[in-house]
Amino acid sequence: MIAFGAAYFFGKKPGQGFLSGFAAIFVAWTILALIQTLPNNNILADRVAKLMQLHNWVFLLLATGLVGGLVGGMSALSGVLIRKAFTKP
Amino acid sequence: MKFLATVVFALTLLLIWALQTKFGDIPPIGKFLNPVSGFWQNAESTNSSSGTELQLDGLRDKVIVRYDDHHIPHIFTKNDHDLYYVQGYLTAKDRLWQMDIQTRAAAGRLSEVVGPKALDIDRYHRRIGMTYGAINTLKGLMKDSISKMTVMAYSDGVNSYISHLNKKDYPIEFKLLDYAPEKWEYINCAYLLKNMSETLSGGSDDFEMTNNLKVFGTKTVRDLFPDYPFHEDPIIPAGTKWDFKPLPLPKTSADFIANTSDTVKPQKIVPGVGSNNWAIAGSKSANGFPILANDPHLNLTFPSIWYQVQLSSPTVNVYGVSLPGAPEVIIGYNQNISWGVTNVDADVLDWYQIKFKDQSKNEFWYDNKWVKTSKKIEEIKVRGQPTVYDTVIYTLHGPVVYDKIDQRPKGRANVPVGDAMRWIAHDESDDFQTFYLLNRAKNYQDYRKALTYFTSPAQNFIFADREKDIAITPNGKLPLKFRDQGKFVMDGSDPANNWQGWIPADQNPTVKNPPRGFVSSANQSSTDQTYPYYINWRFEQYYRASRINGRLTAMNKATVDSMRLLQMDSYSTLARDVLPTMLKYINPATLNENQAKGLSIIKNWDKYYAEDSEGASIFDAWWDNFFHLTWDDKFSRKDIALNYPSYDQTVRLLLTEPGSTWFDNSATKYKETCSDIVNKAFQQAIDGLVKTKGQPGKKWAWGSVKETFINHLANLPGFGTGNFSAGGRGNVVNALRWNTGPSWRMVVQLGPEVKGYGVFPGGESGNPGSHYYDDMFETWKNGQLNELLFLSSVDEKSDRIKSTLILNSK
Repeated sequence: MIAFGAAYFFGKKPGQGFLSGFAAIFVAWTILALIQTLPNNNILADRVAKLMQLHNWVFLLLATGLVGGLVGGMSALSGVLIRKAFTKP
Repeated sequence: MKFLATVVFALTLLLIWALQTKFGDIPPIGKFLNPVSGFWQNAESTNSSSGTELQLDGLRDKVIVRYDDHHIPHIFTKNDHDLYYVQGYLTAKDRLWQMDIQTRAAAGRLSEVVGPKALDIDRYHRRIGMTYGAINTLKGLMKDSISKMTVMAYSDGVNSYISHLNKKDYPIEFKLLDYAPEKWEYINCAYLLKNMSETLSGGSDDFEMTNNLKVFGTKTVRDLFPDYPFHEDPIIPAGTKWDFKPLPLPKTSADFIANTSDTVKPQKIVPGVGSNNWAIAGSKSANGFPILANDPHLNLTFPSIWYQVQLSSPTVNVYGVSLPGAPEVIIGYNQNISWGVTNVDADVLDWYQIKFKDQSKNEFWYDNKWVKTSKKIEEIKVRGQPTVYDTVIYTLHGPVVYDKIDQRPKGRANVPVGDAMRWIAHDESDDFQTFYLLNRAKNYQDYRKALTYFTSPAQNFIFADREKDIAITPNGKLPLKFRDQGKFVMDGSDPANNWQGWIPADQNPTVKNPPRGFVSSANQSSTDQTYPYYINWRFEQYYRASRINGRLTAMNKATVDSMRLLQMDSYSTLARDVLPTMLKYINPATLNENQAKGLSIIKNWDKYYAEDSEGASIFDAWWDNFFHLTWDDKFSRKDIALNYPSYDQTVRLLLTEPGSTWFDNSATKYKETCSDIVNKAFQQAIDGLVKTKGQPGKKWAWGSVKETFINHLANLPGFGTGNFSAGGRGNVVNALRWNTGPSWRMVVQLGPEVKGYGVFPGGESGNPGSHYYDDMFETWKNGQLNELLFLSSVDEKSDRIKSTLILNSK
């Protein structure tokens, strides 16, 4: 939503929109996940990584960032494209 | 441009939808990984705060909870209502998902959350009358003002926790399975009792025994499946006099064995689910006061089946383990007494062959006339599929578990068709009252009174107090039966086959302060053959009991540590009984090099199933092969389900009838004797070990041959221990194998100041993201016990108290 809104109002190029949406959420989710897992000594992240058949919880962190980033990027891309399509140049 | 924008927008929505949705067993990925609301939120900081204060609706007064270094709550309240309320609240805080899934399983409601794959097990639980039994039990609980108060306060406490729970704080399993906790109903407490009844008294071999009778005839069945074992060391010491006038036994019915015709068998009795307990008198202990020990063997899971707690109010101060979902402490101690339980193995589940009048099954033949049945429609909701409706026919005996063969789902071919089930767990009961009274008991009289309320599953209640009394009572509501009633499937049309009443509670076997200076049980026969009533024809064999009694007899000036070492003891009584004879039969001339090495290893074996023992691995495989080579050709048949003879009877043949024709393999022309089977079994055992573990050596150590593991309750990979090396096995005191074994080890030294020690494999928290999820596992695995922190009052200081939680009424 935020990515969509921000891109709607400020986004210029579709590619740039996607990238900034992706990067913003990727970074945000990664940091938020780290805030949770570091004080936990990664006990839970280790277990969930094993459950998902990943060798290391860092992959889980990457996956979290990627999933968040993908949604952020797509939302931002939608925002830029919709503004371009529905507002007159 | 518009088109592209619409497509991208639609794709984005689709992506978001896909990430929020559960596909098959895969959790909704986006929801699950979202760091604001998904699983990352379940990662608990290892530096938890030292003090919190909360306001709760429903509390009547201020409550103080001290958490110790294992996160065990010590609850101090000013009244009993608040005590059980907070017990419910805090248990839910640590174990909510476990409570949810266990009661769902008992109630036959797993399909609601995991979909059609649980339909078979749900249907089974509905059809054996778990709901019917829970409703009856709840009725009994609600009639008693004390049980009613405890169940209601406990449930209100659980609901108070659930109602304040944010989505982000749901236990991780709810997030993985993508569902939400629901309100805790009073009946859930009763479901928990049904769960225990199913585990401990829900198996039966009546059907296979009936088939045995048909295949082998009465004489063989009497020989190989006698009502009293070859080797025994009963719970109530042999020769104890019965100081009561027994009720007359009901008359054996004219033809008590039903003429069954189908080939399916009922739920198997689960081997390895048993337990030990004992108490020594002051005369045998170092400090002159009794010591009590208990280790119930159950399925080992994370989270543990037990939850440690101290409960303190003006009427009680008790420490021990509770069952998440039920009020009170189930095994534990207070300042004056300690108690524990093991399973009795009473025959409280019987099958009756039903003859229906016609296809409508509205009537069945009983007492020479047609009698009406009733029908109960079970509504089973299935996630992602239409609701399933299942009709269960109830007769006056109980539910007909499967009345048509095609009702029986594939993969669960273990229930007899056309038979009604009579099960003690269907009856009204007030079992919590027993624990309410035991938690507060001060002496032997209080203990005896508490036991009169207990129904099912019958337990060997062991007892010791600071007045130096010790006692044990195989106890529960036991049907008054004629001898062997229910050993086989019975004719359901003859009223003489019904249970004819109950053994009076004060005539259940019991013994107080026996001359030998200790009491004990390990699921073996309750009594010798002089007890006037029939409890069962078959109990757990005497192997653990014999070892425990032997050690306790020899012990003097015993301490807590002597008891701990006995709980960890892995000496094999079976090997003691049979190994000299088996070795005598071995013909060394026929052995190859590895077999000869194996022979020298086992000749030097000390008969302990120790972790590093190679002899244990050889003996285990040797005995197993011997048993199967003796019986498989006669008892393993595809066309009919038969009950195997016991180890005990196999031992009898080995020691006393080596020429028995049972040793002859019917598939060969040659006539085998005991010696042939012993030799063949030995060679096969060694060859098998060479094949799986290589040349004789360290790799043959019992700890690496035996599989031992603890899984998460839902078998989630990464959430359990994985396989680990350990000593012990079923039939030795430390009965640890696969994922069954000592689920709680407790030793209590009575005295002017009671001292308790205990540990269970796991931790207090059910959260895999908590440091307290498995913090006691290593201690348990190493055979150590934690000193239990039993606070005499809320103000007692201890450096083991790590945080305080204050709960105020709103």
